[in-house]
Amino acid sequence: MQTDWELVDAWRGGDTVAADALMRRHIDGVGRFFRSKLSDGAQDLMQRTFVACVKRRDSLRDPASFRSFLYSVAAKELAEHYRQQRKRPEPLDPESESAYDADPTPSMLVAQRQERRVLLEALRRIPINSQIVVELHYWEQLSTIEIADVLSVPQGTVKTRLRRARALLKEQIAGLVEAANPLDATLTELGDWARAVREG
Amino acid sequence: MVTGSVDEPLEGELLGAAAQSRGFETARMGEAVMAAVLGRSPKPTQLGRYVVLDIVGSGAMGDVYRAYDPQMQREVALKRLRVSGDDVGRQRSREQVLVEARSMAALSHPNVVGVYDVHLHDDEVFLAMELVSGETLLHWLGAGRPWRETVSAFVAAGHGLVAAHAAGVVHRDFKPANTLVGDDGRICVTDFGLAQFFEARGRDHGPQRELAGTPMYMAPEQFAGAGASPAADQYAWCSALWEALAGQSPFGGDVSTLSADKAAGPPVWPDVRGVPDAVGAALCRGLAPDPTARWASMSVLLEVVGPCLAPRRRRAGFWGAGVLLAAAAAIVGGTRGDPTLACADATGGIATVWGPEQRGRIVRTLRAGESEFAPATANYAAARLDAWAAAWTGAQIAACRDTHVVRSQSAVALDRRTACLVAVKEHGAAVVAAVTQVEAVVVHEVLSGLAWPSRCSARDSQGPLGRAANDESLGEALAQGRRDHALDLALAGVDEALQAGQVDAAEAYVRAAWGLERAVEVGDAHRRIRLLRVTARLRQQQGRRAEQHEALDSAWAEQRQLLAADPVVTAQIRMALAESMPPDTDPAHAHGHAAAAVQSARQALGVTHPWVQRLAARASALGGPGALH
Repeated sequence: MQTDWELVDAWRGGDTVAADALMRRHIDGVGRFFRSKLSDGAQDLMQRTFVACVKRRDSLRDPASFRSFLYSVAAKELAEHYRQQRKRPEPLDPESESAYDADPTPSMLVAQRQERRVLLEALRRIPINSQIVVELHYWEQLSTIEIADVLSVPQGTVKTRLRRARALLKEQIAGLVEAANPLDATLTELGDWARAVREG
Repeated sequence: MVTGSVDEPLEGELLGAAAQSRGFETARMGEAVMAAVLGRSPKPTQLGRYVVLDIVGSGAMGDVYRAYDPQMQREVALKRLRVSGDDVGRQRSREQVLVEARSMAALSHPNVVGVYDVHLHDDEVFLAMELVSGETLLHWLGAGRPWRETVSAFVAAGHGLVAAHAAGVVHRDFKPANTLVGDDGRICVTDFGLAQFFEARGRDHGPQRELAGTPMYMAPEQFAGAGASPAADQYAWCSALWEALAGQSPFGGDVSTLSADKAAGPPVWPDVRGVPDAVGAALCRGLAPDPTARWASMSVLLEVVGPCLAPRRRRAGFWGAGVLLAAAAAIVGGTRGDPTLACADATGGIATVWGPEQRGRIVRTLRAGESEFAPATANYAAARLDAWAAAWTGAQIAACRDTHVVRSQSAVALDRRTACLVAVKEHGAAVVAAVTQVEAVVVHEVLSGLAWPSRCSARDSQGPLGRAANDESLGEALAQGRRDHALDLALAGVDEALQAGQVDAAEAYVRAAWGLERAVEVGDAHRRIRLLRVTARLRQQQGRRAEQHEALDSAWAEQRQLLAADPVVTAQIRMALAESMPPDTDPAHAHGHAAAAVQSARQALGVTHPWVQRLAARASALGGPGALH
């Protein structure tokens, strides 16, 4: 099997079969990356991310892996998207502002179970960079080195951030369940789960 | 790669959440992205025979796509049910889901979003449904509506529930967010029975609880895990209407105490300005914690709430004394039960005319036929007779109440009304019998002859008699002071004369009928519509097109006000209206009516019904962008 890098290079040489194969490998993850944060426009950003990957291949300084490169491009595209969306002059701060701050409309990922719905919503309410750390770690199974590469921070910082992000997430979950709109809540089960999450 | 203990609930949930993005939507979006990047035209995502056009929304129940059905040449909404996940799989086989979804597909009613087909695709279940352009009732209510509009929207939605219950389908999660208001104002309920696919929870520990539905609207027995019945839908409807009228839910907002609050029964109706107390009283009964203490059925509830929409003059007669009555009841202090409730049980034995036995016979007879449209016709017949029986029960209750509760009429008047209701019931029995004896293809015609109990609220006035036609039995009826009966005879006379081509005789009958119609004062809308339609037919034969159009226009104005309008009659009126448009009007009006007529007819009787096909041919003859196939 060809490596991701080989496929990228073949793609740059005009090999559409390689392009197809590369995208097929990563499209789900990149889709998750955007759909968990945005209420609209994920498709467009997915497209930009793959195109940018091929274009920026040369400007790389030794990335940890293709995937860390891919998600760093995705994170940049996301930041650019927020910048353009923004009415205010100062850019959105991914360290303190959340996807929810940028757009309170529910994300494109909709869960069936209440617990998961609350979790997905809580993820959107922690700072974007924290959300990215959590998702890349749990969903895409990226290593600490890879995540450090994506966010351009030292490795040690990633571990601290992951801890902090989990704590923030628990707070958000507790807050959401407490303030749950009775129209949506699944009563006591959800409360039990939120308590378990907090104590876990 | 996972650090720490996976037993931690948060981590477990996080790891599981990655799976959230798999499935059809991911595939569709991926294909679109790859096509765009590689500069190839995207392969239209095919789902069975459907070509997916775009995604129109995501909801708790699943994504909804706009798709094209090449076979039927129409656009449909494809709803992807999230039933393939880890939750349901263990509990309920996909086959069961398919079987139940197909029973939903058998349901056809103007106030229900039609389900055309169920489709299984790579472990995911899709429903092909009618594409309704509009907004949700929740959104619609958000704009702030006068109480009458709100109540009448709920009554329309309620008719959808009645039809479902008649077909043995329980909604389980009725709420404004599951009800659509079409751009044409049509109210239709969607997501029937879907909640049940989400209730099963495979839990490895602890007692399994099965909860479906939305706690705010859910009936108390649903909290207890009991299976949902039509009475639970009634509860949800009442709870939602209460919230819409009063501005807040009857049961506060505290989720943890919701179940206990509901078990304790509804609070006192908050006396919303303008809303008749009778509506509040009806809702209170519908919110009774014990399902058997609620209204006997959704249709009975609608027959109680529906009349409250009538203009003030009439309502005063029906309900004006309601407050005094409540006060009197309070003083008497429960020596006897609420007489309103006693009247509510005055069903007058309608079940012997139209009950499970008759329904079974009609459905069996019609389905035994070879024709493809017979099942649709059976559903249609059952729905019409349900509406008729419900109206009859409502009229009986109203007559009882006027005498014993409101005391607005004498016992003599009650007798007269009762006699009228008995006559209507007998007529209904004859129609029920006829339906099993005629060919399926003419069943809708037989049903259009049903006499409706609304005529029995008519009080004989002392006004001038209509000009009588030269007819013996008619004259006799008039001599006996039975104008009501005379009017029926006159109407039958018009039909016969028109069929025999005797235009002058038809003219005389029409004049007599109009005179009688004015004399019976409180008109029966069903009969007046019939009178307007025969008048239009006569004017057409006489070549008086402007008058023909005017009569049809009035007929349509009345028909659209009816709570349980016959979709076949609606189709006939709108098609005739389209064909009689004055030459200087925008052809779009005619095309709009024609297309709506065909749609209404198809929904009622199915695409293959010969009459429906003739109607479609007439619509095609009118041309226009109706795209009628």
